[in-house]
Amino acid sequence: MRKHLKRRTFLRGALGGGIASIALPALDAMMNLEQTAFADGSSQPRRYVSWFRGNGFMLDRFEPIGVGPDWQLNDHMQPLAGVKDYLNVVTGTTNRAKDQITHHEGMTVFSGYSFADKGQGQGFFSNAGGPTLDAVISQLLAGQTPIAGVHLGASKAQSPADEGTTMHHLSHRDHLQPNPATTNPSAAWEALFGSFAQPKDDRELRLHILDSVKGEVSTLQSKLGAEDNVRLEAHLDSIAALEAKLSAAVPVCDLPADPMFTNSESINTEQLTLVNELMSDLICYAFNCDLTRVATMLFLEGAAEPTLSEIMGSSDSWHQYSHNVQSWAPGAAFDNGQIYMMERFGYLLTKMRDTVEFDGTNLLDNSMVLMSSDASDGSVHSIRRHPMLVAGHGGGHLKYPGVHYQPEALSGNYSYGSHPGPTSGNTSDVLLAILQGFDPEASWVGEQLNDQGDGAGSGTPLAEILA
Amino acid sequence: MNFRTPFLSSAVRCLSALALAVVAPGCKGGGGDDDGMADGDSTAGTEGTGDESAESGGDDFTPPPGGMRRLLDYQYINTVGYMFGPEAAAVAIPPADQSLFGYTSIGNSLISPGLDLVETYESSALRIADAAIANPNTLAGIVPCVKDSPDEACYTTVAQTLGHLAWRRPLTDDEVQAVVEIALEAQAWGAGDFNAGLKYELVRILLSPDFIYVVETGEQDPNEPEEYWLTGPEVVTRLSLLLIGRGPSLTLLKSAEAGNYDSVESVETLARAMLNDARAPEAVSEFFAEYLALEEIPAKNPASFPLYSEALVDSMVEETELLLRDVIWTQDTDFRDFIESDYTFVDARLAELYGLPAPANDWDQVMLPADQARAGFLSHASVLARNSHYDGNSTTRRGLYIQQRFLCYAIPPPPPDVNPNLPEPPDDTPMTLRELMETVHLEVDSCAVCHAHMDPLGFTLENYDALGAWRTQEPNGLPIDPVTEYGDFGQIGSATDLAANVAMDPRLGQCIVNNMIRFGRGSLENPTKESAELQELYASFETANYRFQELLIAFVTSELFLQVGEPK
Repeated sequence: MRKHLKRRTFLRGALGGGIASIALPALDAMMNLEQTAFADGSSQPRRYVSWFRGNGFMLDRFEPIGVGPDWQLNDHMQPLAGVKDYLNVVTGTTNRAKDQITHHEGMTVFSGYSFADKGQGQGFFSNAGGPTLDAVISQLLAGQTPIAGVHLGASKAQSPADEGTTMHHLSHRDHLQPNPATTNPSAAWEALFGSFAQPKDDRELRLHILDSVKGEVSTLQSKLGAEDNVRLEAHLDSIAALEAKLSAAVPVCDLPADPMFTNSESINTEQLTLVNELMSDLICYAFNCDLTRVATMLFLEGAAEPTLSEIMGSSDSWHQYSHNVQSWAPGAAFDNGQIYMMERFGYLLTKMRDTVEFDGTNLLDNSMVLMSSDASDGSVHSIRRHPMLVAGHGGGHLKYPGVHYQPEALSGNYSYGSHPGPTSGNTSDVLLAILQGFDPEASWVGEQLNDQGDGAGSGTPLAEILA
Repeated sequence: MNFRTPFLSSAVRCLSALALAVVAPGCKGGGGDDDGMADGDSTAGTEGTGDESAESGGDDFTPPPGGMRRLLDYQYINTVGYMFGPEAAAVAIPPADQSLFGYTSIGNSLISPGLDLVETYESSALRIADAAIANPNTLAGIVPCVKDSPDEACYTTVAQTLGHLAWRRPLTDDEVQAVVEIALEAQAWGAGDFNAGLKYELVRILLSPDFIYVVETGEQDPNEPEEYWLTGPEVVTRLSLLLIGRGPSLTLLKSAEAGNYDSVESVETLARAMLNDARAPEAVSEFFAEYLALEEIPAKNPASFPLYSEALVDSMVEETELLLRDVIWTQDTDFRDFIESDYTFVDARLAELYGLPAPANDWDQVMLPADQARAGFLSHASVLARNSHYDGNSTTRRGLYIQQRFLCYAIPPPPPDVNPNLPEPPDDTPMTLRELMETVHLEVDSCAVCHAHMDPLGFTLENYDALGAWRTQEPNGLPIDPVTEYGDFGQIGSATDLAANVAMDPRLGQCIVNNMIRFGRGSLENPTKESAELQELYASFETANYRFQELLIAFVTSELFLQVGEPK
């Protein structure tokens, strides 16, 4: 009998549930046959990744020990020991989002924009106020790769209480322009590589169809108002995105096989470790083949309520644990989960380090990977001392070996379940530092400051992490 | 019938336009057009004879902006099925819709598409075209030449006829030419094969924004410049999508283009015909799928809930679907029965969960067990399991669900100084979940501000575990106490009491109306600018004894449905 109320089932899991992992073959002999030299003189392009895991950190177990060039990994960063030299860690700085709902304001750390449209009579509602850094970079790199950016996720769980675009997406091209994450590895593969795996001698025809359709788009543009014209512009961008793919030559690199895994398990039984590996592998292939230079990974959205059964001792929801500091004891579920999250992030970094580029460098040499969350101390939804970890040498743009930048040490009075302090600076300084790796002329990121001088934007790149 | 109130006021609006000898769009008289056919595009009505006290304009009503909204996934698939047959529908995979304010219809009206939108539509269109050509009977029913005379002239016929149906408007000559050019180019590329040309012609038609987006701009009311009446074709499109889940037939479109659906009476006649269509229950269930959001039932810990399986979850959702359909379609009765019915539908899995004898058939209607205090949907396993955790109950989520979805009470964000960190419960004292929540959510003032509206409602459902099975004690052996107090409800002793209170709450009907509006037109209701019209619709639902089909009729014949503002 059809399940009429379960309407979304037909959209996911079109492929059977066989589990497979992508065996990454040795990535030798490939790419960039034109031997282009990039602006910085390197032969490989710079890439950017945003990586998100919801509900914050345990600061005293996360913030590195020592500052400057001589710093040590704290307990929760131990999974990154193998790539420590590639890490620049920024702690103690302030996320300057102008307003708060709980969780929503934390997302500003990836954009420098405060959220918009608060409440709307709908409770925990907001929309992202502006573009996230990944989208700004995609815009800068427009036309240089067939795909502007790839947006991936691991868990399908969404916060049951939060509404609007802010919390459910990591990437936004602008207000009401989210880039939804794909949580289905097979679909992600199809979007990245599928078109190269099929015969496409009809490309020219299909390009003509796309061109032909534009006439109707402009007729609509003339009939509709400003808001719908923004959406029609996005529609034209989407046509351009397909045109770029159809016009792209088949990349001269190893194309991965379809992982044949759709991540269709019910929430609470998702195989997030496997999904993360498959998605990380796809990012590495896509970067290595230069199909795109921008990726985002929404591992688990903030305030989502899944029980992460792959975390030792976990029987309650991750969000619940974040608000229950009894689970923050060493060896308890939230503590274990912090390590679990960093292991997942570490998988991507290690895979990037092990992916060799045409010129003998590796992906991590040429990338900047920003990891953060929607809070510093998630139990109180704090955005004071909001940690940001930037992995990768960034094609020579960032310090290597990396440093720990921390304006002031965590107060000895801090305890779980309180707002951490002291805090100063501006997390968006990190965003501008990264952005300048793609646009040396960039002088501002995020929103403009208001008359009172409040706002989350920045015009001062964090020099301490720049090479 | 009492639900005619909004209908009369619309008729008045029309008469005022006619009195000025300016025929307002949507107010033209309809000649009886006898194009009766299967999918409800039957007859147009005649001019309304409403109250003669014509209004001179200048009311407080401002409809939501007009503009374009993207076809919802099921509307796209159903329309593809209508044009090309079930094989094509089976391979139609449109881009995922995005929800805003709880509804994809609002998301598809306000959120910009992702950059992979057209690629997804193109992949889908290529598959659809292949399937349509391999199984041409449905298409040939619309454009016979694809089988009878597959030649170049047929490409023109396809562009004109199928194009008209797909784009919901006649194509200009230039547009026909643009479509045929693609067909001819593809035919040449395919070494003269007619079907090669046809395939890419179909792709061309399906990739047009005129197929993908529904445009609703209407025509300005001469007396009320901020009000635009949807044109006849726009009305029948909006109506078809809502009531039968797909775009209108070509016959209906042409009839609307001829002016046959410009009166409110004709809209009502058409809506009633559509509600009798076999596709209506499924289309209406699309509303409830989003309203009740039961696709989000999370998995349970198998060690604690050995009965849990994905098949059981499917049965839970089906139980709710069957009760909905019974109330709305089979009984056509008071919708509040959905909230407090004393019967339900079970299969063998659910019977085991509820402790009932196995049914004789796959599904049987049964009385709820007398000793479990169950009543209606609120004690269905579906909603109980949805609002529970992996390994236990959540009084908060159960209460929140009822507040948000049935009473339209939005829990405000916590005050800035709130400490959301859970206080530590006393050590060594075994507590029930309720006692724990009373300690951590209700004793601390800053938490209680919000939680006082959620947890107490959840307490009354503590007799049902995270899978929805009856229990009288918690796993730790402590007894359940479901008796609580909440606001105007006063003392609530059980789930049955809770259901009765929710069912009798005047906010319930209004909340359902609000949600119906959001889903049906893709925009939030506006209590300020649409106040009188909303009150009328609330009243007509009540006076129709809360029959959901009558709510639909009252809605689609009201200005809330038939008008838009300036395009956004």
